[in-house]
Amino acid sequence: MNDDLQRRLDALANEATPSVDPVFADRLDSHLRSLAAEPVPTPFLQRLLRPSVLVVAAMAIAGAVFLVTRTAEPTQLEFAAATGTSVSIPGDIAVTDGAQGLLLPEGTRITVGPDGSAEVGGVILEPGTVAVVVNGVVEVVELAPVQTVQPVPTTAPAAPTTETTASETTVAPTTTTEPTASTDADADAVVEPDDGAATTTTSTPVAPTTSTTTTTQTPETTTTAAPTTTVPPEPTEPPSGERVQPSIALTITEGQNGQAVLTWTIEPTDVEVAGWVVRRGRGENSEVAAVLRRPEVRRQRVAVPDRNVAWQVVARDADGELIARSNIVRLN
Amino acid sequence: MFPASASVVLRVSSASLDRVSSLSTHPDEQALVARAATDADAFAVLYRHYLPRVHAFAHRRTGNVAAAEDICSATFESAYRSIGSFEWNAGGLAPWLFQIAARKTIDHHRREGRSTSERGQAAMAQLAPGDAPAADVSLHDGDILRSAIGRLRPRYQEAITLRHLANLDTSDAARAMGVSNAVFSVILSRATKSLRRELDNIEGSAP
Repeated sequence: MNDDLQRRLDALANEATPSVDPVFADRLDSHLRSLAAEPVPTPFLQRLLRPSVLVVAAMAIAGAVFLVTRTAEPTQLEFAAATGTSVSIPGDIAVTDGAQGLLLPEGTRITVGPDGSAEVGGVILEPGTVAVVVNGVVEVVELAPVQTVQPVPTTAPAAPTTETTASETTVAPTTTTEPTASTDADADAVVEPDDGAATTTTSTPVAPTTSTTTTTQTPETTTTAAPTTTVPPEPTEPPSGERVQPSIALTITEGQNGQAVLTWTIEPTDVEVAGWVVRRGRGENSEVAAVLRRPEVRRQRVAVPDRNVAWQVVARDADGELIARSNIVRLN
Repeated sequence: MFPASASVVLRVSSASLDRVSSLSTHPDEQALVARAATDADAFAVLYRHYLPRVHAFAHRRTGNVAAAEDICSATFESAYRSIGSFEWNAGGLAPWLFQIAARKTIDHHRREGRSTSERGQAAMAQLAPGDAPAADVSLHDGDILRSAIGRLRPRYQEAITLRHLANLDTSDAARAMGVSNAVFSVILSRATKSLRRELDNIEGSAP
Protein backbone atom coordinates (compact mmCIF):
# COMPACT_ATOMS: atom_id res chain seq x y z
CA MET A 1 0.00 0.00 0.00
CA ASN A 2 1.40 3.36 -0.86
CA ASP A 3 1.86 5.93 1.87
CA ASP A 4 -0.87 8.18 0.61
CA LEU A 5 -3.60 5.57 0.82
CA GLN A 6 -2.36 4.37 4.18
CA ARG A 7 -2.36 7.95 5.41
CA ARG A 8 -5.89 8.52 4.21
CA LEU A 9 -7.14 5.30 5.81
CA ASP A 10 -5.41 6.19 9.07
CA ALA A 11 -7.00 9.60 8.95
CA LEU A 12 -10.41 8.05 8.45
CA ALA A 13 -9.79 5.54 11.23
CA ASN A 14 -8.81 8.35 13.60
CA GLU A 15 -11.53 10.68 12.50
CA ALA A 16 -13.27 12.21 15.43
CA THR A 17 -16.67 10.64 15.89
CA PRO A 18 -19.54 11.98 17.91
CA SER A 19 -20.22 10.31 21.22
CA VAL A 20 -23.07 7.92 21.43
CA ASP A 21 -26.24 9.72 22.17
CA PRO A 22 -27.26 8.46 25.61
CA VAL A 23 -30.88 8.66 24.63
CA PHE A 24 -30.16 6.39 21.71
CA ALA A 25 -28.13 4.07 23.94
CA ASP A 26 -30.97 3.81 26.43
CA ARG A 27 -33.52 3.37 23.71
CA LEU A 28 -31.54 0.53 22.17
CA ASP A 29 -31.07 -0.95 25.62
CA SER A 30 -34.82 -0.93 26.10
CA HIS A 31 -35.32 -2.41 22.68
CA LEU A 32 -32.98 -5.27 23.45
CA ARG A 33 -34.76 -5.85 26.73
CA SER A 34 -38.06 -6.00 24.91
CA LEU A 35 -36.54 -8.60 22.63
CA ALA A 36 -35.56 -10.58 25.70
CA ALA A 37 -39.16 -10.61 26.82
CA GLU A 38 -40.20 -12.16 23.52
CA PRO A 39 -39.72 -15.83 22.86
CA VAL A 40 -36.58 -16.24 20.86
CA PRO A 41 -37.64 -17.03 17.32
CA THR A 42 -36.26 -20.30 16.19
CA PRO A 43 -34.99 -20.52 12.65
CA PHE A 44 -37.47 -22.16 10.36
CA LEU A 45 -35.23 -25.09 9.52
CA GLN A 46 -34.53 -25.70 13.19
CA ARG A 47 -38.24 -25.77 13.88
CA LEU A 48 -38.71 -28.23 11.07
CA LEU A 49 -36.07 -30.54 12.48
CA ARG A 50 -37.53 -30.73 15.96
CA PRO A 51 -38.15 -34.39 16.86
CA SER A 52 -41.78 -33.73 17.67
CA VAL A 53 -42.32 -32.07 14.31
CA LEU A 54 -40.55 -34.92 12.55
CA VAL A 55 -42.67 -37.51 14.32
CA VAL A 56 -45.87 -35.67 13.47
CA ALA A 57 -44.76 -35.27 9.86
CA ALA A 58 -43.89 -38.95 9.58
CA MET A 59 -47.25 -39.95 11.03
CA ALA A 60 -49.06 -37.60 8.70
CA ILE A 61 -47.25 -39.01 5.69
CA ALA A 62 -47.89 -42.58 6.79
CA GLY A 63 -51.56 -41.77 7.34
CA ALA A 64 -51.87 -40.12 3.97
CA VAL A 65 -50.22 -43.08 2.25
CA PHE A 66 -52.52 -45.46 4.12
CA LEU A 67 -55.62 -43.51 3.15
CA VAL A 68 -54.55 -43.22 -0.46
CA THR A 69 -53.81 -46.91 -0.75
CA ARG A 70 -57.04 -47.79 1.05
CA THR A 71 -59.29 -45.54 -0.92
CA ALA A 72 -57.59 -45.60 -4.26
CA GLU A 73 -59.80 -47.00 -6.95
CA PRO A 74 -58.31 -49.74 -9.06
CA THR A 75 -57.13 -48.51 -12.39
CA GLN A 76 -60.19 -48.20 -14.56
CA LEU A 77 -60.03 -50.35 -17.60
CA GLU A 78 -61.29 -49.38 -20.98
CA PHE A 79 -61.73 -51.03 -24.30
CA ALA A 80 -58.63 -50.72 -26.41
CA ALA A 81 -60.69 -52.21 -29.19
CA ALA A 82 -64.07 -53.82 -29.35
CA THR A 83 -66.47 -55.12 -31.94
CA GLY A 84 -69.59 -57.15 -31.51
CA THR A 85 -69.36 -56.79 -27.76
CA SER A 86 -72.05 -55.96 -25.25
CA VAL A 87 -71.31 -54.49 -21.90
CA SER A 88 -73.30 -54.41 -18.71
CA ILE A 89 -72.08 -51.69 -16.38
CA PRO A 90 -73.23 -51.67 -12.74
CA GLY A 91 -76.20 -49.39 -12.35
CA ASP A 92 -78.25 -51.11 -14.98
CA ILE A 93 -76.41 -49.52 -17.83
CA ALA A 94 -76.28 -51.69 -20.87
CA VAL A 95 -74.11 -50.93 -23.84
CA THR A 96 -75.03 -53.15 -26.69
CA ASP A 97 -72.11 -52.26 -28.88
CA GLY A 98 -68.98 -51.66 -26.90
CA ALA A 99 -66.39 -49.60 -28.68
CA GLN A 100 -62.87 -48.42 -28.21
CA GLY A 101 -62.43 -46.05 -25.29
CA LEU A 102 -65.47 -47.25 -23.35
CA LEU A 103 -64.58 -47.12 -19.67
CA LEU A 104 -65.18 -50.34 -17.82
CA PRO A 105 -65.74 -49.68 -14.13
CA GLU A 106 -65.52 -52.26 -11.42
CA GLY A 107 -68.09 -55.01 -11.84
CA THR A 108 -68.64 -54.45 -15.52
CA ARG A 109 -69.64 -57.60 -17.37
CA ILE A 110 -68.35 -57.95 -20.88
CA THR A 111 -69.90 -60.35 -23.32
CA VAL A 112 -68.15 -60.88 -26.61
CA GLY A 113 -70.50 -61.99 -29.33
CA PRO A 114 -69.91 -64.97 -31.64
CA ASP A 115 -68.32 -62.73 -34.21
CA GLY A 116 -66.93 -60.12 -31.89
CA SER A 117 -63.66 -59.44 -30.22
CA ALA A 118 -62.38 -57.07 -27.59
CA GLU A 119 -59.12 -55.96 -26.12
CA VAL A 120 -59.13 -54.90 -22.50
CA GLY A 121 -56.07 -54.21 -20.40
CA GLY A 122 -53.81 -55.85 -22.91
CA VAL A 123 -55.88 -59.02 -23.01
CA ILE A 124 -57.75 -60.15 -26.11
CA LEU A 125 -61.16 -61.57 -25.41
CA GLU A 126 -62.15 -64.21 -27.90
CA PRO A 127 -65.63 -64.63 -29.37
CA GLY A 128 -68.06 -66.06 -26.86
CA THR A 129 -66.09 -64.89 -23.86
CA VAL A 130 -67.80 -63.47 -20.83
CA ALA A 131 -65.57 -61.49 -18.53
CA VAL A 132 -66.03 -59.39 -15.44
CA VAL A 133 -63.87 -56.51 -14.25
CA VAL A 134 -62.71 -57.36 -10.73
CA ASN A 135 -60.15 -55.23 -8.92
CA GLY A 136 -59.25 -53.53 -12.15
CA VAL A 137 -58.45 -56.82 -13.84
CA VAL A 138 -60.37 -58.74 -16.46
CA GLU A 139 -61.62 -62.05 -15.13
CA VAL A 140 -62.79 -64.49 -17.77
CA VAL A 141 -65.71 -66.37 -16.29
CA GLU A 142 -67.27 -68.05 -19.28
CA LEU A 143 -66.15 -69.32 -22.61
CA ALA A 144 -68.44 -70.30 -25.41
CA PRO A 145 -67.94 -73.77 -26.88
CA VAL A 146 -66.47 -72.17 -29.95
CA GLN A 147 -63.45 -71.35 -27.80
CA THR A 148 -61.30 -74.16 -29.01
CA VAL A 149 -57.61 -73.75 -29.01
CA GLN A 150 -56.06 -73.88 -32.38
CA PRO A 151 -52.78 -75.71 -32.67
CA VAL A 152 -50.14 -73.11 -32.15
CA PRO A 153 -46.52 -73.48 -33.08
CA THR A 154 -44.32 -73.06 -30.08
CA THR A 155 -41.19 -71.01 -29.96
CA ALA A 156 -39.97 -71.90 -26.52
CA PRO A 157 -39.97 -75.62 -26.15
CA ALA A 158 -39.88 -75.53 -22.39
CA ALA A 159 -42.83 -77.80 -21.99
CA PRO A 160 -41.99 -80.98 -20.17
CA THR A 161 -44.20 -82.90 -22.49
CA THR A 162 -46.61 -82.34 -25.32
CA GLU A 163 -48.13 -85.74 -25.60
CA THR A 164 -51.50 -84.73 -24.12
CA THR A 165 -51.89 -81.44 -25.91
CA ALA A 166 -54.96 -82.41 -27.83
CA SER A 167 -56.92 -83.56 -24.86
CA GLU A 168 -55.91 -80.56 -22.79
CA THR A 169 -56.67 -77.84 -25.21
CA THR A 170 -60.17 -78.78 -26.09
CA VAL A 171 -62.92 -77.24 -24.10
CA ALA A 172 -65.00 -79.81 -22.37
CA PRO A 173 -68.54 -78.45 -21.98
CA THR A 174 -69.29 -80.88 -19.20
CA THR A 175 -66.76 -79.29 -16.92
CA THR A 176 -67.81 -75.68 -17.24
CA THR A 177 -69.09 -75.44 -13.70
CA GLU A 178 -67.83 -72.25 -12.16
CA PRO A 179 -65.25 -72.75 -9.47
CA THR A 180 -66.53 -72.32 -5.97
CA ALA A 181 -63.67 -70.16 -4.87
CA SER A 182 -62.69 -66.93 -6.51
CA THR A 183 -59.36 -66.71 -8.17
CA ASP A 184 -59.22 -63.00 -7.61
CA ALA A 185 -56.49 -60.73 -8.74
CA ASP A 186 -54.80 -60.64 -5.38
CA ALA A 187 -51.44 -61.96 -6.35
CA ASP A 188 -50.07 -62.57 -2.89
CA ALA A 189 -49.68 -66.21 -3.62
CA VAL A 190 -48.21 -65.61 -7.00
CA VAL A 191 -44.50 -65.54 -7.27
CA GLU A 192 -43.28 -62.62 -9.29
CA PRO A 193 -41.51 -63.41 -12.50
CA ASP A 194 -37.92 -63.71 -11.49
CA ASP A 195 -35.70 -66.41 -12.80
CA GLY A 196 -37.88 -67.99 -15.41
CA ALA A 197 -37.70 -71.38 -13.85
CA ALA A 198 -40.82 -73.38 -14.33
CA THR A 199 -40.12 -75.79 -11.54
CA THR A 200 -39.17 -73.52 -8.68
CA THR A 201 -42.58 -73.45 -7.08
CA THR A 202 -42.61 -74.34 -3.43
CA SER A 203 -46.33 -74.67 -3.02
CA THR A 204 -47.90 -77.87 -1.92
CA PRO A 205 -48.99 -79.72 -4.96
CA VAL A 206 -52.53 -80.87 -5.30
CA ALA A 207 -52.47 -84.53 -5.61
CA PRO A 208 -54.19 -86.13 -8.51
CA THR A 209 -57.56 -87.34 -7.43
CA THR A 210 -58.50 -90.95 -7.61
CA SER A 211 -62.14 -90.14 -8.07
CA THR A 212 -63.71 -91.28 -11.25
CA THR A 213 -67.06 -89.57 -10.82
CA THR A 214 -66.09 -85.99 -11.42
CA THR A 215 -63.12 -83.90 -12.20
CA THR A 216 -64.34 -80.68 -10.65
CA GLN A 217 -64.29 -81.72 -7.05
CA THR A 218 -61.38 -81.08 -4.81
CA PRO A 219 -59.97 -83.95 -2.79
CA GLU A 220 -61.80 -82.60 0.29
CA THR A 221 -65.18 -83.01 -1.40
CA THR A 222 -64.77 -86.44 -2.90
CA THR A 223 -66.93 -88.17 -0.32
CA THR A 224 -69.42 -89.06 -2.99
CA ALA A 225 -66.73 -90.63 -4.98
CA ALA A 226 -65.46 -92.59 -2.04
CA PRO A 227 -68.51 -93.42 0.09
CA THR A 228 -66.60 -95.75 2.30
CA THR A 229 -64.70 -93.05 4.01
CA THR A 230 -64.84 -89.33 4.69
CA VAL A 231 -61.14 -88.98 4.97
CA PRO A 232 -59.64 -87.23 2.01
CA PRO A 233 -57.71 -89.59 -0.11
CA GLU A 234 -54.03 -89.70 0.30
CA PRO A 235 -52.12 -88.27 -2.59
CA THR A 236 -51.43 -90.89 -5.09
CA GLU A 237 -47.79 -91.62 -5.29
CA PRO A 238 -46.29 -92.34 -8.66
CA PRO A 239 -44.88 -95.78 -9.07
CA SER A 240 -41.45 -94.45 -8.46
CA GLY A 241 -42.50 -93.25 -5.01
CA GLU A 242 -41.74 -89.61 -5.76
CA ARG A 243 -44.42 -86.94 -5.70
CA VAL A 244 -44.71 -85.07 -8.93
CA GLN A 245 -44.58 -81.31 -8.71
CA PRO A 246 -47.12 -79.75 -11.04
CA SER A 247 -45.41 -77.71 -13.66
CA ILE A 248 -46.65 -75.41 -16.38
CA ALA A 249 -44.91 -75.12 -19.72
CA LEU A 250 -45.69 -71.79 -21.33
CA THR A 251 -44.95 -70.72 -24.87
CA ILE A 252 -45.58 -67.50 -26.68
CA THR A 253 -46.24 -67.14 -30.36
CA GLU A 254 -46.17 -63.84 -32.12
CA GLY A 255 -49.35 -62.99 -33.95
CA GLN A 256 -50.43 -60.07 -36.07
CA ASN A 257 -51.19 -56.48 -35.14
CA GLY A 258 -48.99 -56.49 -32.08
CA GLN A 259 -50.65 -59.51 -30.60
CA ALA A 260 -49.28 -62.74 -29.30
CA VAL A 261 -50.74 -66.01 -28.14
CA LEU A 262 -49.82 -67.60 -24.87
CA THR A 263 -50.32 -71.35 -24.73
CA TRP A 264 -49.50 -73.64 -21.93
CA THR A 265 -49.75 -77.16 -20.65
CA ILE A 266 -49.68 -78.44 -17.13
CA GLU A 267 -48.20 -81.66 -15.83
CA PRO A 268 -49.56 -83.85 -14.41
CA THR A 269 -52.56 -83.37 -16.63
CA ASP A 270 -55.05 -84.33 -13.99
CA VAL A 271 -54.10 -81.64 -11.52
CA GLU A 272 -57.19 -79.93 -10.14
CA VAL A 273 -56.89 -76.40 -11.43
CA ALA A 274 -59.65 -73.90 -10.67
CA GLY A 275 -58.26 -71.09 -12.75
CA TRP A 276 -55.30 -69.30 -14.21
CA VAL A 277 -53.68 -66.00 -13.61
CA VAL A 278 -51.82 -64.43 -16.49
CA ARG A 279 -49.12 -62.08 -15.31
CA ARG A 280 -46.95 -59.73 -17.22
CA GLY A 281 -43.90 -57.93 -16.03
CA ARG A 282 -41.09 -55.71 -17.02
CA GLY A 283 -37.99 -55.30 -14.95
CA GLU A 284 -38.84 -55.50 -11.28
CA ASN A 285 -42.53 -54.83 -11.78
CA SER A 286 -45.21 -57.30 -12.62
CA GLU A 287 -48.98 -57.22 -12.63
CA VAL A 288 -51.96 -59.39 -13.24
CA ALA A 289 -53.04 -59.09 -16.84
CA ALA A 290 -56.02 -61.39 -16.62
CA VAL A 291 -57.70 -63.94 -14.44
CA LEU A 292 -59.18 -66.93 -16.24
CA ARG A 293 -61.72 -68.71 -14.12
CA ARG A 294 -61.92 -71.49 -16.62
CA PRO A 295 -59.72 -74.45 -15.78
CA GLU A 296 -60.03 -75.87 -19.25
CA VAL A 297 -58.40 -72.87 -20.87
CA ARG A 298 -54.88 -73.37 -22.10
CA ARG A 299 -54.54 -70.36 -24.31
CA GLN A 300 -54.83 -66.61 -24.07
CA ARG A 301 -54.34 -64.00 -26.70
CA VAL A 302 -52.68 -60.84 -25.49
CA ALA A 303 -51.61 -57.49 -26.83
CA VAL A 304 -47.86 -57.06 -26.83
CA PRO A 305 -46.93 -53.44 -27.45
CA ASP A 306 -43.49 -54.12 -26.04
CA ARG A 307 -41.58 -57.24 -26.97
CA ASN A 308 -39.60 -57.09 -23.74
CA VAL A 309 -42.65 -57.68 -21.59
CA ALA A 310 -42.33 -60.99 -19.79
CA TRP A 311 -45.29 -63.29 -19.37
CA GLN A 312 -46.08 -65.98 -16.88
CA VAL A 313 -49.08 -68.15 -16.17
CA VAL A 314 -49.95 -69.26 -12.66
CA ALA A 315 -52.34 -72.06 -11.75
CA ARG A 316 -54.55 -71.77 -8.74
CA ASP A 317 -56.79 -74.21 -6.96
CA ALA A 318 -60.34 -73.62 -5.77
CA ASP A 319 -59.06 -71.96 -2.60
CA GLY A 320 -56.97 -69.55 -4.57
CA GLU A 321 -53.78 -71.25 -3.54
CA LEU A 322 -50.88 -71.43 -5.89
CA ILE A 323 -50.50 -74.77 -7.59
CA ALA A 324 -47.78 -74.04 -10.07
CA ARG A 325 -46.27 -71.28 -12.06
CA SER A 326 -44.92 -71.42 -15.53
CA ASN A 327 -41.65 -70.49 -17.02
CA ILE A 328 -41.34 -66.90 -18.14
CA VAL A 329 -41.58 -66.10 -21.80
CA ARG A 330 -41.22 -63.00 -23.91
CA LEU A 331 -41.16 -62.38 -27.62
CA ASN A 332 -37.55 -61.26 -27.60
CA MET B 1 -33.92 -12.19 30.55
CA PHE B 2 -33.38 -8.48 30.74
CA PRO B 3 -35.41 -7.93 33.95
CA ALA B 4 -36.63 -4.36 34.23
CA SER B 5 -34.87 -3.84 37.55
CA ALA B 6 -31.50 -4.58 36.02
CA SER B 7 -31.77 -1.74 33.55
CA VAL B 8 -31.40 0.82 36.30
CA VAL B 9 -28.19 -0.72 37.47
CA LEU B 10 -26.76 -1.29 34.04
CA ARG B 11 -27.46 2.04 32.46
CA VAL B 12 -24.38 4.18 32.40
CA SER B 13 -23.72 7.75 31.50
CA SER B 14 -22.35 8.87 28.18
CA ALA B 15 -19.13 9.84 29.96
CA SER B 16 -18.58 6.31 31.16
CA LEU B 17 -19.39 5.08 27.68
CA ASP B 18 -16.47 7.07 26.36
CA ARG B 19 -14.24 5.68 29.06
CA VAL B 20 -15.02 2.04 28.46
CA SER B 21 -14.67 2.53 24.73
CA SER B 22 -10.96 2.86 25.18
CA LEU B 23 -10.76 -0.65 26.54
CA SER B 24 -10.25 -3.46 24.09
CA THR B 25 -12.07 -6.20 25.91
CA HIS B 26 -14.16 -6.31 29.01
CA PRO B 27 -12.20 -7.85 31.91
CA ASP B 28 -14.92 -10.46 32.47
CA GLU B 29 -15.76 -10.83 28.85
CA GLN B 30 -15.46 -14.61 28.59
CA ALA B 31 -17.68 -15.16 31.60
CA LEU B 32 -20.15 -12.57 30.36
CA VAL B 33 -20.30 -14.16 26.91
CA ALA B 34 -20.89 -17.56 28.47
CA ARG B 35 -23.85 -16.15 30.39
CA ALA B 36 -25.16 -13.75 27.78
CA ALA B 37 -27.33 -16.26 25.98
CA THR B 38 -29.39 -16.84 29.11
CA ASP B 39 -28.55 -13.84 31.26
CA ALA B 40 -29.83 -10.51 30.00
CA ASP B 41 -27.70 -8.58 32.44
CA ALA B 42 -24.55 -10.15 31.07
CA PHE B 43 -25.49 -9.20 27.54
CA ALA B 44 -26.33 -5.69 28.67
CA VAL B 45 -22.84 -5.28 30.08
CA LEU B 46 -21.31 -6.39 26.80
CA TYR B 47 -23.62 -4.10 24.88
CA ARG B 48 -22.64 -1.09 26.95
CA HIS B 49 -19.00 -1.97 26.61
CA TYR B 50 -18.95 -2.31 22.84
CA LEU B 51 -21.58 0.22 21.80
CA PRO B 52 -19.15 3.19 21.56
CA ARG B 53 -16.70 1.24 19.43
CA VAL B 54 -19.33 -0.11 17.12
CA HIS B 55 -20.93 3.30 16.88
CA ALA B 56 -17.60 4.96 16.02
CA PHE B 57 -16.88 2.26 13.48
CA ALA B 58 -20.25 2.73 11.82
CA HIS B 59 -19.92 6.50 11.85
CA ARG B 60 -16.49 6.41 10.20
CA ARG B 61 -17.87 4.11 7.60
CA THR B 62 -21.00 6.13 6.88
CA GLY B 63 -20.17 9.66 8.06
CA ASN B 64 -23.68 9.92 9.35
CA VAL B 65 -24.97 9.70 12.92
CA ALA B 66 -28.38 8.43 12.01
CA ALA B 67 -26.90 5.73 9.80
CA ALA B 68 -24.46 4.79 12.53
CA GLU B 69 -27.28 4.41 15.01
CA ASP B 70 -29.23 2.26 12.57
CA ILE B 71 -26.20 0.05 12.10
CA CYS B 72 -25.67 -0.20 15.85
CA SER B 73 -29.28 -1.23 16.40
CA ALA B 74 -29.10 -3.90 13.74
CA THR B 75 -25.74 -5.14 14.95
CA PHE B 76 -26.66 -5.57 18.60
CA GLU B 77 -30.02 -7.04 17.79
CA SER B 78 -28.35 -9.67 15.63
CA ALA B 79 -25.70 -10.23 18.26
CA TYR B 80 -28.30 -10.71 20.95
CA ARG B 81 -30.22 -13.21 18.88
CA SER B 82 -27.18 -15.27 18.01
CA ILE B 83 -24.89 -14.87 21.01
CA GLY B 84 -25.71 -18.46 21.93
CA SER B 85 -23.95 -19.68 18.81
CA PHE B 86 -20.78 -17.69 19.46
CA GLU B 87 -17.81 -19.87 20.39
CA TRP B 88 -15.25 -18.17 22.54
CA ASN B 89 -11.81 -17.75 21.05
CA ALA B 90 -8.64 -15.86 21.75
CA GLY B 91 -9.85 -12.77 19.95
CA GLY B 92 -12.81 -12.39 22.25
CA LEU B 93 -16.14 -10.98 21.20
CA ALA B 94 -14.83 -7.98 19.23
CA PRO B 95 -14.01 -9.69 15.90
CA TRP B 96 -17.37 -11.44 15.87
CA LEU B 97 -19.21 -8.24 16.73
CA PHE B 98 -17.35 -6.15 14.17
CA GLN B 99 -17.98 -8.74 11.51
CA ILE B 100 -21.70 -8.32 12.16
CA ALA B 101 -21.29 -4.55 12.12
CA ALA B 102 -19.31 -4.66 8.88
CA ARG B 103 -22.00 -6.70 7.18
CA LYS B 104 -24.76 -4.48 8.49
CA THR B 105 -22.80 -1.53 7.13
CA ILE B 106 -22.56 -3.16 3.72
CA ASP B 107 -26.29 -3.82 3.82
CA HIS B 108 -26.84 -0.19 4.70
CA HIS B 109 -24.73 0.97 1.79
CA ARG B 110 -26.51 -1.39 -0.52
CA ARG B 111 -29.83 0.14 0.46
CA GLU B 112 -28.37 3.59 0.21
CA GLY B 113 -26.91 2.76 -3.18
CA ARG B 114 -30.31 1.86 -4.46
CA SER B 115 -31.83 5.12 -3.25
CA THR B 116 -28.93 7.25 -4.49
CA SER B 117 -28.65 5.55 -7.86
CA GLU B 118 -29.71 7.40 -10.97
CA ARG B 119 -32.94 5.49 -11.02
CA GLY B 120 -33.47 6.10 -7.32
CA GLN B 121 -32.77 9.80 -7.69
CA ALA B 122 -35.08 10.04 -10.65
CA ALA B 123 -37.82 8.39 -8.64
CA MET B 124 -37.20 10.75 -5.75
CA ALA B 125 -37.24 13.73 -8.08
CA GLN B 126 -40.63 12.67 -9.41
CA LEU B 127 -42.00 12.27 -5.91
CA ALA B 128 -40.62 15.56 -4.56
CA PRO B 129 -39.11 17.71 -7.32
CA GLY B 130 -38.12 20.49 -4.95
CA ASP B 131 -36.00 18.23 -2.75
CA ALA B 132 -33.51 17.14 -5.41
CA PRO B 133 -29.98 17.23 -3.96
CA ALA B 134 -27.65 19.93 -5.15
CA ALA B 135 -25.28 18.72 -7.81
CA ASP B 136 -22.29 20.75 -6.69
CA VAL B 137 -21.86 19.36 -3.17
CA SER B 138 -18.17 19.40 -2.35
CA LEU B 139 -16.87 16.20 -0.72
CA HIS B 140 -14.32 15.92 2.05
CA ASP B 141 -11.51 13.43 1.78
CA GLY B 142 -13.26 11.11 4.24
CA ASP B 143 -16.38 11.17 2.11
CA ILE B 144 -14.41 10.30 -1.00
CA LEU B 145 -12.73 7.43 0.78
CA ARG B 146 -16.03 6.15 2.13
CA SER B 147 -17.53 6.37 -1.31
CA ALA B 148 -14.62 4.45 -2.80
CA ILE B 149 -14.87 1.76 -0.14
CA GLY B 150 -18.56 1.50 -0.78
CA ARG B 151 -17.88 0.66 -4.43
CA LEU B 152 -15.76 -2.38 -3.57
CA ARG B 153 -16.95 -5.93 -3.54
CA PRO B 154 -18.54 -6.77 -0.16
CA ARG B 155 -15.67 -9.04 0.82
CA TYR B 156 -13.13 -6.31 0.08
CA GLN B 157 -15.20 -3.77 1.99
CA GLU B 158 -15.26 -6.14 4.93
CA ALA B 159 -11.50 -6.66 4.87
CA ILE B 160 -10.68 -2.95 4.63
CA THR B 161 -13.11 -1.83 7.29
CA LEU B 162 -12.28 -4.59 9.75
CA ARG B 163 -8.56 -4.02 9.44
CA HIS B 164 -8.43 -0.24 9.20
CA LEU B 165 -11.66 1.23 10.56
CA ALA B 166 -12.36 -1.28 13.32
CA ASN B 167 -8.65 -1.37 14.12
CA LEU B 168 -8.57 -5.15 14.42
CA ASP B 169 -5.19 -6.72 13.99
CA THR B 170 -4.64 -9.16 11.15
CA SER B 171 -5.43 -12.23 13.27
CA ASP B 172 -8.68 -10.84 14.63
CA ALA B 173 -9.77 -9.53 11.25
CA ALA B 174 -9.00 -12.90 9.68
CA ARG B 175 -10.93 -14.64 12.45
CA ALA B 176 -13.85 -12.29 11.93
CA MET B 177 -13.95 -13.17 8.24
CA GLY B 178 -13.49 -16.86 8.96
CA VAL B 179 -10.28 -17.21 6.98
CA SER B 180 -6.63 -17.84 7.78
CA ASN B 181 -4.20 -14.99 8.26
CA ALA B 182 -2.57 -15.74 4.92
CA VAL B 183 -5.85 -15.71 3.07
CA PHE B 184 -6.87 -12.54 4.81
CA SER B 185 -3.62 -10.88 3.75
CA VAL B 186 -4.32 -11.80 0.14
CA ILE B 187 -7.88 -10.49 0.36
CA LEU B 188 -6.68 -7.28 1.98
CA SER B 189 -3.99 -6.79 -0.64
CA ARG B 190 -6.50 -7.15 -3.47
CA ALA B 191 -8.98 -4.97 -1.62
CA THR B 192 -6.37 -2.24 -1.30
CA LYS B 193 -5.57 -2.36 -5.02
CA SER B 194 -9.25 -2.17 -5.84
CA LEU B 195 -9.67 0.73 -3.45
CA ARG B 196 -6.83 2.58 -5.10
CA ARG B 197 -8.44 2.08 -8.52
CA GLU B 198 -11.77 3.32 -7.23
CA LEU B 199 -10.14 6.39 -5.71
CA ASP B 200 -8.41 7.09 -9.01
CA ASN B 201 -11.69 6.77 -10.81
CA ILE B 202 -13.48 9.11 -8.44
CA GLU B 203 -10.73 11.69 -8.28
CA GLY B 204 -9.86 11.39 -11.95
CA SER B 205 -13.42 12.11 -12.97
CA ALA B 206 -13.74 15.02 -10.55
CA PRO B 207 -13.80 18.45 -12.24
